[in-house]
Amino acid sequence: MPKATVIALYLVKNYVWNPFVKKYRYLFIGLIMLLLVFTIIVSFKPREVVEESIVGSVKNILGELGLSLSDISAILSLVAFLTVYYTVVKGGMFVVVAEEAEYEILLSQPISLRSYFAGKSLSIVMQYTLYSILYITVIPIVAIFTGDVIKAIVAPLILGVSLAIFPLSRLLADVVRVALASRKGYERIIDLTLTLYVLIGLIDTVTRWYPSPILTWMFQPTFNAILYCFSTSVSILGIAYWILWIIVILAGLSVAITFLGGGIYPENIRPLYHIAKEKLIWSMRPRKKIDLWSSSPEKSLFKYIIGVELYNSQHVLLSIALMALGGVGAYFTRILFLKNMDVGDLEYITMFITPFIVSMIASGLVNILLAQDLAYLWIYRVYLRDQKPYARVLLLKYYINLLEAFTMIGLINAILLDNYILIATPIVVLPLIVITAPIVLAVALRFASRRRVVKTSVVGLYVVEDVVMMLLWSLLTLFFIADTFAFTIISYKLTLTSIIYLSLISILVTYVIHRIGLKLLTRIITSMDIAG
Amino acid sequence: MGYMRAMGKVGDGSFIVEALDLHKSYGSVKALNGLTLRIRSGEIYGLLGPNGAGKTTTLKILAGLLRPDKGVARICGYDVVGEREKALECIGYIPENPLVFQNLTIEEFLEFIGALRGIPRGELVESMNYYLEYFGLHSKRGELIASLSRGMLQKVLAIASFIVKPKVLLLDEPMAGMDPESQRLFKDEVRRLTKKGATAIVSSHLLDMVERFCTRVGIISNGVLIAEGNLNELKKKAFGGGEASLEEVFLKLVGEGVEESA
Repeated sequence: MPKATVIALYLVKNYVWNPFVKKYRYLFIGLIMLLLVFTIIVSFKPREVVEESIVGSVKNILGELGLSLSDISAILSLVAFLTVYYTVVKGGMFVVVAEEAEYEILLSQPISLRSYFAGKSLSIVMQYTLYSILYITVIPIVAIFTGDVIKAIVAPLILGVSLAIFPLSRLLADVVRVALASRKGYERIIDLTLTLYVLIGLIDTVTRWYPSPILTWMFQPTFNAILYCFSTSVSILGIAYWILWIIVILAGLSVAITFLGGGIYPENIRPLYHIAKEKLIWSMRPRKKIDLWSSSPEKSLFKYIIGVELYNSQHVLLSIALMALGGVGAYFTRILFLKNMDVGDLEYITMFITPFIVSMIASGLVNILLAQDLAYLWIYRVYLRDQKPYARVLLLKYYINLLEAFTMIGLINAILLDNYILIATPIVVLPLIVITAPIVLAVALRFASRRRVVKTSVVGLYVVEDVVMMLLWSLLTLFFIADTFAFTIISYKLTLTSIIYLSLISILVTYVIHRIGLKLLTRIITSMDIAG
Repeated sequence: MGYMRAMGKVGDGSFIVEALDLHKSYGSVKALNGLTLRIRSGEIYGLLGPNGAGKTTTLKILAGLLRPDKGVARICGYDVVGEREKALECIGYIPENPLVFQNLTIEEFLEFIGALRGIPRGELVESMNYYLEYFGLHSKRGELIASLSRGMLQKVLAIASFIVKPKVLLLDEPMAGMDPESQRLFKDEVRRLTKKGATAIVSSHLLDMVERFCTRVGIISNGVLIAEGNLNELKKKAFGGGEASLEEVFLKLVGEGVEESA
C-alpha cells in the first residue's frame, strides 16, 4: 500500500473513525432509520400543502430580495475565495495541523513530505465524507423542501463531500504561503500576484454588479451542490454534474498541495496548540501584574475568571466591534435591501435567521471557553475548599456570554424592524439564559469526565465533544428562535410599563432558575471524576 | 464492613493516609481492584508499579479528583468523598501531566492558589518569596506560565503544593524534567517537611531515586498492592534476603504478581 494511503487511513482512524463513527455507529443507524421513516411520511404530503407553508415563505423572501439560489451561491463563493486569499496573504509561516501526534510522531517517520501531504489531503476528503453522518438531520428538511426522497437520502453525502473543499483550500493556502513565500523575495511576488488577481476579479464584479467567475470558480460547484439539494428545479442528475466538478477541484487541490508540500521542511508544520501558545506568549508580554489575591476565594475567582479570562481587552474590543458591526450592518441592510420588503416577511427573517446566526457564533465561542475551563478544573478541585463559589462565577461567565449574544440579537432585530422595544430582548429572555448555561456546562462536564478531555484538550473540544455540543446547541438554537419569535410577536402590543413588569417577572423567574442551576452545577463539579 | 474490621486500625488516627479496598474502573478497564494502603505521618512513601498499574488513579482518588467505585480513602482521618473539604485542606498535589493557566505569570498563579486556599496575604507573600528564591525562580516570577519549560513548570507546581502548608503531599512523577540541582532541592524540602510531620506519597518510575529518597515503598500491580515495606523487607520478600537493588526487587515482584494474576 502506498505510504500516502497508510497515512490517510491512520489520520482518519485517529480523528474520526475510532473516537466517533465506530463508537456511535448504532446510534447513527437508529437515527438514520428514524429520519428515513419521517422523510417517507413527509414525501406523501401533497405538494400544495408544503408549498404554502415554510417552502413558500422562503421562496417569497428570496423573491422580494431579488435573489435566486445561484445568486446566493455566487455571493457565498466570492466570500469563500476572498477568505482563502486573506489566509495566503496574511497567514503565518506554518502549515497548521490539529494534534501533536501528527507533528511529532508522524513527521519523524521516514516518509517524504510529498507522501505526507498526499496522505493528509486524502484523509481530509475521507474525513469529510465520513462526516456525512453528522448531516443526516438535513434528510427530512430536503424532503420537506423538494418532496424528493432519493435527493433527501443522498443529501448528507453531498454535503460531506462538498464541504471537504474548505479545509483542503485552507491547507493549500498554508502550503502556498510556506512553500513559496518563505523563499527570499518570493513573499512579495506571491502577495502581489494574488492581490492583482483578486483586484481584477473585484473590478469585474463591480462592472457586472455580480460576483465574477474569476473569483467564484473554486467554490461555486460546492455551494451549487449544497443549495440545489433544497431546490425542486434542479434534479439529482443536475447535482451530480456539480459533484463531478467538485471531485475535479478536490483532485486538483490535492495535487497542488502534494507538489508544493514536497518543498516544506517539517519544522514549518506545527500543531495548533504550539502556534496558539506562541501567540499567547507574544500577545501577553509585557503587561501589568494582575493582583489575584483576595481574602475571599470567591473574590479571587471573580477577579480571574471574569476579570482576566472573560473581560480582557481582546474580548471587550471584539464585543464592541461585533455590536457595532451588527448594528451598522443591520441599518444598511434595512435601508439598502429591505425597504420594499413586506413587514411580515421581514419579521420572519429577523425571528429565525438572526437568532440562528448569533447562536452559532455564540456556540463557537462558548466551546472554546469550555475547553479552557475544563482543562484547569483540577486546580479548583484540589485547591478550592468549596466548589460553590467556583460554580457561581463559572455560571456568571456563561450568563454574560449568552447575554451578549442576545443583546446582539435584540439590537439587530430592533434596527431591522424599526421596533426599539426589541432592545429589551436580553432582559426578557434572561430565564432562558440561566437555563442554557448550566445545561451546556453540565453536558460538557459529563462528557469531559468520561472522555478525559479535562486532561488532554487545551485548545478545543475533540470530535465527540464537538458533536455532542453541536447537537446540544442545535436544540438550544431552537429555544433561542422560539424566544425571539415570541417576544417579537408580543412586542407590538407592549407599552413601556408592561415592558418593566415583564422584565421584573423575568428577573424573578431568573433568580429561581439560577438557584436550581447553581445547586445542580455545584454538585456536578464537586463529584465528577476528573480522569487522566 | 467485613474488610474494615479485618484492618483493625481503620480510622483510629494512627495513619494519616488510608486507602481501603479501593476499586475503580474506566468502562471495562479495571484500574484499581481492591487496593489497600496505610501510611503514617512523617513517611516518604514510594508508590511503584508498571504502566497502567493504578498509581495515578490512586493519587487522583486521594486528591479528590476521582470517586472510587468501592472502598474508602481517608486523608488526616477525613473521608475524601464524604468529608471532601476537610480532607483536601490537608493536601498539596503535583499531577502527572499538569495543565496550568497559561495566561498567568508564576507570581499571579501562586497568589491565586494561595487565595483559593484562604492563606492570609502576608503569610502567602513570605512563603512564596522563600520558595521562589529557594528554587531560583525569583527573577522569573513575572514570566508567563505558557513560556515555561516542563522542569520550570514542575518547580512552580512544587511551590504551589508547598505554600499551602500540606500535611500530605501527593506527588505524581514530581521531578519530571527538573535539572539535578532542582531535584536535590525538591527532595531536601520534602525531607524537611516530613521531618516536621508531613507525609509524602511519591509515584515514580525512577527506581534509583525512590530507593534513596523514600522511607517505605509499595508496589502495585493490576490495581492491587503486591508488596510493601522498606528495602530490606522487600528484598526478603523477593529473594529471601541478600544483596539486591530496588530495580531487581521490583522486577522480581512485579513478574510474580503478573504470573499470579494470569
